[in-house]
Amino acid sequence: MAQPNEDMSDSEMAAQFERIIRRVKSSMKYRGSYSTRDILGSLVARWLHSGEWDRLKLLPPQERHIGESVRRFILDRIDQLRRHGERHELPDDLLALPDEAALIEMIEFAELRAWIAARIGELEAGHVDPRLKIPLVNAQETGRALRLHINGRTQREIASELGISLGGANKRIVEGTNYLVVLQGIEEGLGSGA
Amino acid sequence: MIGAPLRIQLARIAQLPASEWERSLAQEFPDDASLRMQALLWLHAEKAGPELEGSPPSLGEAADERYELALLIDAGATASVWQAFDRRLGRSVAIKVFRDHSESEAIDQVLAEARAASDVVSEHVVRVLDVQYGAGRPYIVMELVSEYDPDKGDVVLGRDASSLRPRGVDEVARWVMHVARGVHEAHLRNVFHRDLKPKNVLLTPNSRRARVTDFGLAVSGTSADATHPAITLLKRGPAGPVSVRGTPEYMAPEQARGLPLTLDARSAADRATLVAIDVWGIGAIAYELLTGAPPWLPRRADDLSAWEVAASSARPEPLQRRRDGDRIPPRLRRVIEKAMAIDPGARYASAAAVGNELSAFLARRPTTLDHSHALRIGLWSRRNPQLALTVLVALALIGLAGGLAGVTRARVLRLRGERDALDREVAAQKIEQTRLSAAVTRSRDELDDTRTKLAHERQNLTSLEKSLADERSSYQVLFEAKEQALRTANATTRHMLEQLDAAHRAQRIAQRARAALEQTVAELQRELDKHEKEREKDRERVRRERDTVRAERDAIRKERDAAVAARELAEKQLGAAQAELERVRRLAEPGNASRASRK
Repeated sequence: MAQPNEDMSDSEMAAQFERIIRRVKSSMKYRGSYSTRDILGSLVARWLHSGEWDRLKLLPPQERHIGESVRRFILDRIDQLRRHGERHELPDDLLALPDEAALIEMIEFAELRAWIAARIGELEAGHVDPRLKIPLVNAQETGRALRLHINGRTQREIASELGISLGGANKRIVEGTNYLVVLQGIEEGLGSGA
Repeated sequence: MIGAPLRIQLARIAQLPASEWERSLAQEFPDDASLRMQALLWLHAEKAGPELEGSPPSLGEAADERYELALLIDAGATASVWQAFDRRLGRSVAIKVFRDHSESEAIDQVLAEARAASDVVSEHVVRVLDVQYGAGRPYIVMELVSEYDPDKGDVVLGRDASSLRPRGVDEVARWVMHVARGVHEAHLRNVFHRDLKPKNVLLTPNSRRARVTDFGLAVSGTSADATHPAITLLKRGPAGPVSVRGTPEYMAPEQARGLPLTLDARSAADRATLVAIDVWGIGAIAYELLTGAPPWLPRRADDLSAWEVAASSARPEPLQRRRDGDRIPPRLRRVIEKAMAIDPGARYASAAAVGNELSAFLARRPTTLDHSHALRIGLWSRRNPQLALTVLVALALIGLAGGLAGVTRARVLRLRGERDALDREVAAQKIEQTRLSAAVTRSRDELDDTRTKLAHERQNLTSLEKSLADERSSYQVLFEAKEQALRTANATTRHMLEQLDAAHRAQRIAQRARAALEQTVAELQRELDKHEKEREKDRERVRRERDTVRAERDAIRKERDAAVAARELAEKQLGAAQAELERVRRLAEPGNASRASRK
């Protein structure tokens, strides 16, 4: 992940802001509506949870061979599906995976989604990251609203579920999203100074 | 952590143009660089915040002038549906507005599909009226499914079939028949849905007729359904790239495995494939409406998503019982099972065929799957009960006449066999009739229940009216009591006023008496003063007399003292004179004259 430096220009900082905000928000509206990329993304997420990435991270980058590892994992998965019955065969050599850079980006997205889910879990438990200097009004409610939001519920449904107004639900989502963006910025070294 | 004032400061800064945020933050928090950075990120994130679902989006100047977006009907990840008023044509419409960050390629595709769907005109299809790009947001104007509700005195919007519970098997069959007819109309214009599910079936609120919506929207994954989102997956198959599109929970198996990208509706084979997918979809709608669950569900046991289950060789759970536990009629079950055959070739050849089958089911006519003669005769008998009875009697008479004519034993046996068969049919018919009677009885019971409820309602209304009348009379009594109390209070007030007047009068008299008394007292006082003055004068006179007396007494005392003093002086002079006289006498005596001369 890119780290900021003291001499970062306004335009560079704006670009970094925009990138952080876009990444967080696109990860939040993932909602399981699968494009080809999202299907692969979900498989990559499963690969991530298998612990393989943690193992590969310990290796030098040139020895990781991420593409091959992911490919093997997906083929195993397809084999597993085959065992559940007949289907049009998908020859192994025709399985098209994106290039390694795209795969790394997908891995980062999968990690970010897992990170977001964990932060939302903390908020639901009432825990606010102490590094954040901007107070959250109602951390638990914000956490619950975000959880429903990333599960694809509409704001109307969220408002109904939490027993708050539509405007209130929207406010909680906006506030929670801002919280995640700022925390992600802190993770990248922005505004983390003591 | 800084408290709420920081949020207020941030809210104030957020009102400024973004270019001034950094400067303003530097002024507000000059000593905390990390807080400035966090606040800046917070402000930028808030500026790009998620779209407000509660506020209608703008469709562009011209469209905003024409359409007034009033009520959010539905919202999903990629689009929201609004009830709007078309000012130009003076009617209400539904507008599906896509979010501006949707992928343009997908939007182009969905708009093309929607334009194609606008050709479909059917009472069972929600008509697409317009397809436009406005202010960077594509939108589709559709017919608004609504009906006037005389009870509410207002127009009520239709609801999708997933949110409405059918009243019985016949209603499910009727809805699905409507869907099948609408889909068939679309097929006649080479428009295929490919994402049929209860969410895409809208029902009119009063007449409860079904209409299909969202033709072609699944193709690009832009359905507004957030509960069961459609998927769009492209992958490489043995014969080239294939696509998986639709909603996993309702997909036909071949759809889940992937369809060639080059499907052309003008080709007979491809057309058959597309028709078969929609026929499956019609069956899937019936499946969920009856059982309450979609055909495919994720399998937690082996961590398979609904799409993966649909793509495997699994079969949906068999249709046995409805969601309320009642048995699904076998005739209807057979129709749905054929529509949802795993092999596309084994399904109905067209949506119209499904519609016809359901129409036959509803009219108690045999479907193409009802091969049993007994069942057919039973159905015929249910449709023509009097004729069936006549035929039975005629057959019995014929049998009797045959017996009387002394037919051969073999003929008798054959006739007996026929009679037995007829008996069996009659028995079956009786069973059917019993079932129907039971159904009629149930309906009558329900009707009676409804009547009873209505009577109860009437009774409640009457008692309500009575209690209202009682209330009114109570109010009247209360009112009269209040009036009486008011009158009494008025009389009391009057009495008190009179007493007050009398008191005033008495007070005036007393005042006059007091004045007279005071006058008398004054006169007496004056008399008293006069007497006092006279007394004083007397006293003064007495004092003066006394003083005079005292002065006379003092003068007398002085005269007395002077007389005493004079007497004493006189006594002294007398003493002295006596002494002188004595001396002279002595001197005058002889012998004493010589001593006196010596001396």
